[in-house]
Amino acid sequence: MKNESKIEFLRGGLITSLQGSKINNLQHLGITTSGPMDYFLSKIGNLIMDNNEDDLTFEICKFGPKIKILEGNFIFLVSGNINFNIITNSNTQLGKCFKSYILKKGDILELNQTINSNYAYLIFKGKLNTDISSNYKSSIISSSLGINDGKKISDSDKFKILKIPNFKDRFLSISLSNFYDNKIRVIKGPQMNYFKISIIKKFFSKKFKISKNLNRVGIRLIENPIKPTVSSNLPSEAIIKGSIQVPGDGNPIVLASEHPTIGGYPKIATILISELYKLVQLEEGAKISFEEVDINLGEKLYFDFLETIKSIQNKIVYL
Amino acid sequence: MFITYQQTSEQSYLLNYGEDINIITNKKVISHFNYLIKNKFKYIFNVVPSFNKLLIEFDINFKKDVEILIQKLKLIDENDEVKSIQHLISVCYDEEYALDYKNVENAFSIDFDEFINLHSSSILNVFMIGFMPGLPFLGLLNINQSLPRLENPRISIPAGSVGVVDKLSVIYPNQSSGGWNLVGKTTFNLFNKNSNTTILNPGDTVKFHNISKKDFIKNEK
Repeated sequence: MKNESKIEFLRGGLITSLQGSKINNLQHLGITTSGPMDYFLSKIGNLIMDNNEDDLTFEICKFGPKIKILEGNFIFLVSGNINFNIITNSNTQLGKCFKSYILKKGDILELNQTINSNYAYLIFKGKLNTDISSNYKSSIISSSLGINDGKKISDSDKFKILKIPNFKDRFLSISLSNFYDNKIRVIKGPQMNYFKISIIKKFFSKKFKISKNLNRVGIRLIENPIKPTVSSNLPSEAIIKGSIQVPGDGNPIVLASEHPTIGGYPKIATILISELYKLVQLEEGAKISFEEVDINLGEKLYFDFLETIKSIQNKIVYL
Repeated sequence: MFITYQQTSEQSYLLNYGEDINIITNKKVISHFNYLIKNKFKYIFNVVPSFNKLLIEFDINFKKDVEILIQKLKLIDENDEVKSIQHLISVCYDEEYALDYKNVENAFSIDFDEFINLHSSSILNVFMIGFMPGLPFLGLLNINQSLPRLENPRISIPAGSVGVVDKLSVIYPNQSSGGWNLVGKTTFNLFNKNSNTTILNPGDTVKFHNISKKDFIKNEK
């Protein structure tokens, strides 16, 4: 079996981009960390395929791409909840998520709408040519930086995949739906004291709605305004993924993968790493609530999260 | 020396060096920033300075090491020489680019020519780089009146635009949305995409140089 292949995107999809590991050590230059929005799914998908958990994936947002195999074999798995078809010799077969497939020259993979979610991940075996030539391991679409020059995948983009290893088909034997819910755990943010006690109570007791303003930069929450009292502006400071910043109108913004590196709004809370992936999958109109934990529990939950990801490996069934 | 610090996520600390925006506080931040960058600690993911704070993002498996390091920072002399380069940046203050000159005149109660004089004669400190790749936060202008951000931020600001809010100035490296009052435009390149480096660094200084529209257009080519 030839260990190289070539694929063409007949259709790029809504916002399909290359996402792998976080970009580190550049935030002081104004370069954000980027990386997959639902890092739980990208890690799980990679582990099922025996990749490193932060290997490069195609992140699909809402509506996926259509890919034709031009040369060689394309070995893939879809991590997420999305409709897709596999078209071979004009035979169309419905695809299953969390199950590996091997496509041959001329076959087509058609990824359509995500189901009850925003993001899905196309995981593949082998090394992408762009990966080998780039220092970055993720795209930053908002600043046209990173792998693939930060460009989202466009119609007729072609990629070569090298070093494809031998492979045994497999699938994941459990559903991941238990790892998702609408209760999001947070720790205190650096400016929680900018808010009145009654407002903080409101933050934790009432539900927020996910607005239509959601993308890789941030997610705007509405219908439970929590105005800061002290001042809606502070000297701009470094900000991080998962931070919940509150502009003057009181509608919070959750900072996501491509957040600006510096910001001047007060931050009431920080969403735990073990929780943020749940929130980014919630669609416009979904309701969420926040629950406070202390940092010690937050750290424990982080290590539990890593364990959970690793334990999924025991649920892989080989064919 | 920082005054307080707090853990802001499972893997970050935010060190606070004072409440105000001033050069003395910022120099303390920058000296610790330079120390951490220079020593390339393998368990540190990001070190990000701002006016008065320093973010340290770290590998959670090395939390103890980071705590020791933060204690050690307390002993590091913040009077360490901060290597500083002065950059001369040509700006065209023509009305075509100074879209908000009226806001400036009204807020500062001076006419725009006087403002140009002030803006281009001050030596401004580079407090930090951020928000977007290569964007410098510069100051402080010798002005006491307040000039707020635009109530309705612009959806698109051309690359090279020079903005002002209160005593601070920025240069937009790329086309972007933004709420700063625009006072001019420069062709100065702020970010090298190939090498991932910025031309200005925290602790450097900037002096603006007023050029005519004719010279500006020549530079643009």
